[in-house]
Amino acid sequence: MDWLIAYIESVMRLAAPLMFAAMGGLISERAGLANIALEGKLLVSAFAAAAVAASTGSAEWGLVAGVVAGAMSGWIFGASTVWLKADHIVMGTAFNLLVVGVIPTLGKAWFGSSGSTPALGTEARLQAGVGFFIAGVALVLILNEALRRTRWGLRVHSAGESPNALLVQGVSPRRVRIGAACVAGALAGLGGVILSLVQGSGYVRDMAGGRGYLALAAIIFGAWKPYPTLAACLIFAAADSAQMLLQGKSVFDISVPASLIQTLPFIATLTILALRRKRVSAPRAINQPL
Amino acid sequence: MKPSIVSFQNVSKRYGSCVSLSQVSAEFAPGRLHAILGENGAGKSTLMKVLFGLVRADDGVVRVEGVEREWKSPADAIAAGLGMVQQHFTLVPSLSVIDNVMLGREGGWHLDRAAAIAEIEAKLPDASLRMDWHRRVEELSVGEQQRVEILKLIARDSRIMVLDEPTAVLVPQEIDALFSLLKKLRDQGRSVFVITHKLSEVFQHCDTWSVLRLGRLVRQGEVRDSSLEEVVRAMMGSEPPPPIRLQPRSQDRAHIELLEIRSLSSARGGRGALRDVNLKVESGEILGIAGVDGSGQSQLVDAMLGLHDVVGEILWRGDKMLRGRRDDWALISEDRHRQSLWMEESVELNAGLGVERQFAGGTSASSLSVIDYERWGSVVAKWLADFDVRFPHRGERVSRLSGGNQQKLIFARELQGRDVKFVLAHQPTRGVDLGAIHQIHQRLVELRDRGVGVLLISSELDELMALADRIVVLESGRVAAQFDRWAESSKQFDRALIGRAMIGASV
Repeated sequence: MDWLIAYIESVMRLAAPLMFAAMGGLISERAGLANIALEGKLLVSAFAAAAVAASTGSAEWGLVAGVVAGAMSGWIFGASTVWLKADHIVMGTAFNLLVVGVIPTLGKAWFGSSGSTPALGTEARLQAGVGFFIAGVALVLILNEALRRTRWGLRVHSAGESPNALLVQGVSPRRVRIGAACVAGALAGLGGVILSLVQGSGYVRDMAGGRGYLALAAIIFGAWKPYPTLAACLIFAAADSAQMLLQGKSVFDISVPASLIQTLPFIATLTILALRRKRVSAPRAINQPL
Repeated sequence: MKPSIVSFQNVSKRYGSCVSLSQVSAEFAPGRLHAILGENGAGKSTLMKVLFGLVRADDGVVRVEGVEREWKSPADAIAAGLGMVQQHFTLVPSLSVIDNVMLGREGGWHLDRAAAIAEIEAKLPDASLRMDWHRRVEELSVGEQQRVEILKLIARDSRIMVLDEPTAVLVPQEIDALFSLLKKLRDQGRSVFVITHKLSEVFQHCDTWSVLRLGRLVRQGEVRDSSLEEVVRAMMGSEPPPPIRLQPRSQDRAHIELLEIRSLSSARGGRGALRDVNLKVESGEILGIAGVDGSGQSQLVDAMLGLHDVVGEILWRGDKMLRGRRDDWALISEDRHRQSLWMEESVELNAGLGVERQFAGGTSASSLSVIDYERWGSVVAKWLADFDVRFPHRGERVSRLSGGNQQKLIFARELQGRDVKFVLAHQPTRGVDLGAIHQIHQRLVELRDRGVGVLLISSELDELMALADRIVVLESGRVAAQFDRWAESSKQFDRALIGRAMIGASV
């Protein structure tokens, strides 16, 4: 049974970054911002966290840097789509592409290596075990309540469904959206921190590996609701863990190429989204300029 | 006379080169029900939006309760005791009634719904206005949604309430209920402004009227001292045309059955899905379809055009129709911007769309024939002139024309470009000014008298009462009742009776 415990622990570890990214994305999507830029945010904050941790030798400062970098990219995304009325999908895609170019440039300037930051010692990594997973679950619980029972939740919901309803009450839907974008960025930032300081030891090129998109898929599968989104994250993490477990092993005496096995989480995503019969509806005013 | 609660002095507003308000000056007394009248584009909504701070005037002074005001945003206006119900509701459909009422004045970071319900119930003029506070707004009828909008204003203690075209979406019973609520609010001392273009409501319910035309305030008056003709004259800027009198159907000619719809149902469910609809249209008659918006009218039209999956039969002169619009039908669709016009193209092009075959060069017309644009230009010029379409030049974009002129252009094309046996007219006068409405109504009656069959779908019951030989009421996708103007034995051709059928009451 050891393998089962190991497997469950691995699922919890892999689910953590996905959960934070997904909850961040969920907030911004509920506020009406289509958040395809999650992938870029994960990468930016993973890099920022690793770079600061490597420079200061402090995991805590790395954590702060990652969260701040995430919040700032959230703000940039929010401000550009709200004030400049940029299309969210175009803006998000541009952001993701920009990140792919900027990080190696910064990496080269700071560490002389374009693809990654130096490997971090134990003192510069966060030793959290499954702590982040537990924090993530707590976040889901809190977020679910906050959306239902607080002023903030009411306004976020309205900004995503019917921004004019806010406007005529004298509440600026723009501010609500930008605020949500910052919170979303910070949470995605935590996801990035987990990637580079908990799961990895430093930033490795393209280390998000599509998790930002998986998180987005989890939100859609979860119909923009916290609990189902959490469930989707767990399913994806389970597939991801299985993929890691199976790598290098032969299945029924056939050795399956590793790259094929690595596609498992994505195949799971496609299957789940395709099998979902019930039509889910996105927030009504998503990607609509204010 | 009491001092004015709202006064405008020389208020002007332009959008680009387009003047929306021009030097409007007006005074409004407190504690009364004011009707703001005018055609589309006359500036009545803009004026009220200036009052509410949604639009900033270029020039002029607005005084509220004697104090000169210049709002930075609607929030200032709300704080000063104003409230506005927009024509398109500003509710969050997926939230409950109470959440919608609370939005913007939640009172702390934590939502105390029970306290909010107690508060609003205490403010209601009477208990009959209580609602199921936890129901989601999207589950409510349009009339109930409107009540939620008004409750929002009551919750905010608005002393001055503005309602933009509140009755456009309501059936007669709901209209009466709305005005009785507004009168209660007025009797509490509030001042209520209603933007409308329906004169019957003004004369039934309101205290004063003010007419705007082309951005200017033309006249104001007390309802009890005024005549309908006077108000119409002010709105149109000319003598009102005589009302249309439908003559009994001529018996000179045999009436043949053109269209028959037999037990038609939508293939899939949903709001407005058709349920076992049966109807017939004969030549030389206008069949009116009455009903609240969303009762299946769009599905019926789409089914006739082959755009909506149905079971059942649609027969044309006794033969089963291959789905789709026939060439001898004129189609006036509900959404002219999206379905009838190419908005960013010229008047000339739009006037010939769909009937290009008329302009094919050579002798036999096929889809490969080269279009003779010279002929196109000269033919449509005559069509447009015959239907009194006004436009600056033939290359003008059709989006720049008024609603009335756009609709007349569509009539010109649809009626003259083909040998019309049947007219399918869906909301033909929506967003059209009074002058054009009259011309369109005349046109429809002429067609009927010439032996054309007309299916007229309208949510304006007055329009159907004036034009239709028979009225079929659609309610929740089924035929709820039928009324015949000429049959003596049939149910009375009565406004109130038809209104009852529209909301699903038994007749």
